[in-house]
Amino acid sequence: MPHYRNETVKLGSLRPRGVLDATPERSFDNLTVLAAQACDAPFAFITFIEAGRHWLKSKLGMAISETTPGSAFCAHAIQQRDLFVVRDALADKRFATDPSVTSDPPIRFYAGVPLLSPEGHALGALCVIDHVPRDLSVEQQEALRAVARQVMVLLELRRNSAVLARSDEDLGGGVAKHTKGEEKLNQSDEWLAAIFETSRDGILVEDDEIILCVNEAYAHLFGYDKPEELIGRHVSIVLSAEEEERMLEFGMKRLRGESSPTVYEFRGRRKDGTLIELEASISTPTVSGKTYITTAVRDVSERKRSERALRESEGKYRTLVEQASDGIHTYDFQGNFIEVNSKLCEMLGYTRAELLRINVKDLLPAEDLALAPLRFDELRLGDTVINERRVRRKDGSLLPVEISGKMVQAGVLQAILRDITERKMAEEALRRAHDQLDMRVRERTAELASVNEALLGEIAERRAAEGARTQLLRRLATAQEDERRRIACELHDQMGQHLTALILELKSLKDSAQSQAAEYSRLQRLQELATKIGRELHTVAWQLHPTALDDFGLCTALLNYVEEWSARCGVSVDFHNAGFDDRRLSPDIETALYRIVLEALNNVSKHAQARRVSVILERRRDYVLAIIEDDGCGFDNRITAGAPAAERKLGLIGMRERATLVNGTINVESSPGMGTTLFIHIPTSPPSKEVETSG
Amino acid sequence: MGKLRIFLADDHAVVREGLKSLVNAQPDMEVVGEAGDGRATWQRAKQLQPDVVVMDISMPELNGVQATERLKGECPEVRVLALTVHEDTSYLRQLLQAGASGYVLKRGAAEELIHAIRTVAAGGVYLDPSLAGRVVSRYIGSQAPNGASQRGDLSERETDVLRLIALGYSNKEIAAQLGISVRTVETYKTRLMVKLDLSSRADIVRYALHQGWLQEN
Repeated sequence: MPHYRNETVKLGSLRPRGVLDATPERSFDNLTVLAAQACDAPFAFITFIEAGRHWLKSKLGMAISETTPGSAFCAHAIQQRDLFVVRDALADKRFATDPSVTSDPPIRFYAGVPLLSPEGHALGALCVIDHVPRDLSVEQQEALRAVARQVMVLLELRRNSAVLARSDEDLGGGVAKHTKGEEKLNQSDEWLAAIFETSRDGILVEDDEIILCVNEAYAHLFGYDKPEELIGRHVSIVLSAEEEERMLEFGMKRLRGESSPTVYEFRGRRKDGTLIELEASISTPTVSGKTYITTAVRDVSERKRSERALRESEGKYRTLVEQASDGIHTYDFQGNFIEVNSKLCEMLGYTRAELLRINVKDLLPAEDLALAPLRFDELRLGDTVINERRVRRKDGSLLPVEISGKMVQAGVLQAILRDITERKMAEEALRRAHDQLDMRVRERTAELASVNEALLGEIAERRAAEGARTQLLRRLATAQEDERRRIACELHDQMGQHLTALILELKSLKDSAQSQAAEYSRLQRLQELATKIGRELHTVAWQLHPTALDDFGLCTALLNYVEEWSARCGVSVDFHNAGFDDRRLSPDIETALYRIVLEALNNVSKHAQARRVSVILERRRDYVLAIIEDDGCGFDNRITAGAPAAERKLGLIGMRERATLVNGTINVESSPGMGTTLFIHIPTSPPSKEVETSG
Repeated sequence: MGKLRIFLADDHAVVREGLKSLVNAQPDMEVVGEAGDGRATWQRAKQLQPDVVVMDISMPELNGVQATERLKGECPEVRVLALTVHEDTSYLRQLLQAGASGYVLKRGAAEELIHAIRTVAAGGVYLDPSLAGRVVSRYIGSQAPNGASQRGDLSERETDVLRLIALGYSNKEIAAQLGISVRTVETYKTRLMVKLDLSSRADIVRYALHQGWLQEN
C-alpha cells in the first residue's frame, strides 16, 4: 500500500475549498473531457485524496462511479509531484498484479498529473487511462499539465468564494440581532427565484413525488406552455413508461437515505407523448428541516444522437476493418499493437491477444530491420509509407507482404498488410524465366560465336584459295598472252617472211614463163593462193596478238582495231582517248583492256543492232576508265544483273574475269531501247612504276 | 638516164633474195645493196645514196622506223618505201612521220612493189590500196565538226547531267548524285544530245572538254 507522508497537512488544505462532495460539477466535468480529448484517451478523471480515501470528483467514460480506479497509480502520481506515466502496466512490476490491471477491461496505460496547491500540497490528481499500452506525445503531456493547472485554478476560485460566503454569514449573524429574519429570507428568495427562472437547465422540485415547482425551462423542455400545467402533478407525468419504475426506485432510495445515482440519464415523456433524452442531476437540499428533491435536467438528445452516429460509424469502420482482406492494425510509435483485425491474426497465425502483447518489431526479421529500419520520421510527418517486407509468422515462416503505413491520429499509426506471396512467386517465376532466357541466349550466342569463328576460318581459307586461284589465273593469262605473242611473232616473222619469199619467187617464175600460157596461169593461181595464205596468216597473227599493242600501246592498237571493226561490221565507232599523253600502262592492264574492249565490241556486233558505238579511254590519276557505249536495243539490266546464264551469254563473265586479274571492275548499265554502256575501271600502279614508251 | 638504184633492207635473207630477183628483173632497176638490220641499212644507204630504200619495219638493231628517221635526217633525198607485214595503220603513220614516202604490204609486194618503187622514185607517195581507204577516212573523221555547235541552251540540270556523263559516271551514279531517277537521267541525256546535236557519248566527252568543264580531271 502506498504510504502518504505529511498526509494530514496536505489533506487539511483541501477542506476549505468545498469540493469534497461526490456530486459532479460541470466545470470539473469540462476539464475532464478536455484532458481525455487532449490525450486521445477513452477515460479521464479527477480524484481528490482525503484521509487516505480517494474521492472521485469528475470522471469520463467509466462505469465505475464510487470506486476509484487505479488508486495505486494515483498514489504514485501524487508522490511524483509531476506527470507520471505508465506505458504498459502489465509490463511494470509495480502494477502488474494490481486488480485494475488484471481485471477486464484492464488498465494498461496510465498518465496522471498531481494537483498541487499554491502552498505545494498535493490535493489529488488528474488522470487519463487507456486499455492498451501507449504513449503521450510531448504536446499531450503539456496539455495534461495545463488542464491540471486549470483544475487548481478552479479549486482556488471555489475556496475564495467559500471564504466570502462564510464572512457574509458572520456578518449576517452579527446584524441579525437587529434586523428581521424575514427580510433576509425575502432577499434570499428573490435571489433564488432569479436563478431558478433564468436557468437554462430545467429545474424541478418535488415533494413526495408531487411536483412542487418547475421553472420555465423545464416546462418548455417537456412541451408545456407554463410551469403551472405541471405543478401539483405526480412526477411520473414527465417519465416514459419504461423509466418510471427505475426513477421512482431512485427516489425511494434517496428518501430512505440509501445511496442512489445523483447523475444519470433517462428518457422523459413530453406532453405530446414523444420521448426526450435527458441528463438528470439530483440534489437534496434541506430547507427548514425538510429535505426536498431537486432535479436539474438537460436535453442530451443531440449529444446522444451524435454519440449513436459515432458508434455506428465506428461500428461500420470496425466491420470494414474486420472484414478486410488485408491485415490491418494500429500501433504506436513504440511499435505496440493497439488494434488488430482478424485477417492479420489469420495471416500471422497469432491470436488477437497474443498480438496485442508483442511488438511490431518482433514480427520483422532483425536482418531486414537492419537493412530497412521502420520509417517513423516519415510517418510522423503524415506521409503514407509503403514498404515491401517479410513478416515472421508465429510458426517462424516468413510471409512477404506489402505494408502501407500512415498516422491516423496523434500517436496512432495504421498499417495495412497485403499478402504478396503470389506476386512474389510470379516475380520469382518471371525472374527465373528471364534467367533461363538469358542463359539460353548466352548459350546460343556462344554457339553462334563458335559457328561464326568456324565460318570466318572457312572464309579466310576460301579467300586464300580464291587468292591462289586469281594468282594462278593471272599466271595463266600471262602465259597465254606470252604464248600468243610468241606464236604471232613466229607467224609474222618466220612463216610470213617465207611466204613473202615464196610469193616473190612465184612472181618471178610467172614473169619468166610468159610464153607458155598453161604454166603461166598455173603460176598465177599459185601466186594468188600464196597471197591468200599470207592474208589469212596475218589475220590469225593479228587476232592472236596485235603487235601494235606492244609497239604503240593501247590507244593506238585499239584505234586500229576499232577502225577495222567498224569497217567490217558497218557500225560507226567514235573513239576518244584522254590522259595518256605518251605514258604506257603496264602490259597486263593494256592486254586486259584490249581484250575486254574487243569482247565488248564483239557483243555489240552480235546482240546490240547498234548504229553507233563510243569507245572512250581515259587515264586518270590512279586508274584507267574505259567506257563502251552503244545506241542499240539494250536489255533489262535488272534481269541480267547477277544471272550467270545471261551474263555468260553477254560474255560478261569472261570480261569480269579479265578485269579481276588486274584488280579492275566492270559495271554494266542498260535499259531496253536505251543502248548498253560498259564501265571498266582498273586501278593503275603509282606513276613511278609506269612503263615509259620509247617513242 | 641510168637505172633506178635500189637498196633492200630486210632481216630475212630469203625475202631479200625474192625481192632482188623481182627488182633485177626490171630493166630500169638494179639492187645496189642490201642489209639485214636497221643499223647496217642506215650506215650503208648513207654511203650508197640509193634512189629508193625498200625498208622492212621489224628488224634487229634499229627498226625500220628508226632507220628511216636517221637516214632521212641525213640524206633527205633518199626515198624510203616501207615494205611490211604490219597492216596496222599506226605503223603506217609512224613511218610516214619518219619520212617514208610509201607503204606496201608484203603480201601484195609481188604485184605492188615495182609500181610503188617507181611512184616514190618519181617523188610521189604510194600507199597500199588496202590501207589507203582507212587512212583517208580517219583523216576526214578528224576534220569533221564534232557537233559542238550550240543549238540550244541547256538547262542547269541538263548541264549537270552532261558534265557528269563526260566525267565517266554511270546513269545510276548520276541519278544518286542529283537525287533523281535513272530514267530521268536517260531523258536528260537524250534531250541534251538532241539539243547539242551530239551523236555519241564520245561526242559528249569532247563537247565538255571543249567547254572546259572537265577541269577536275
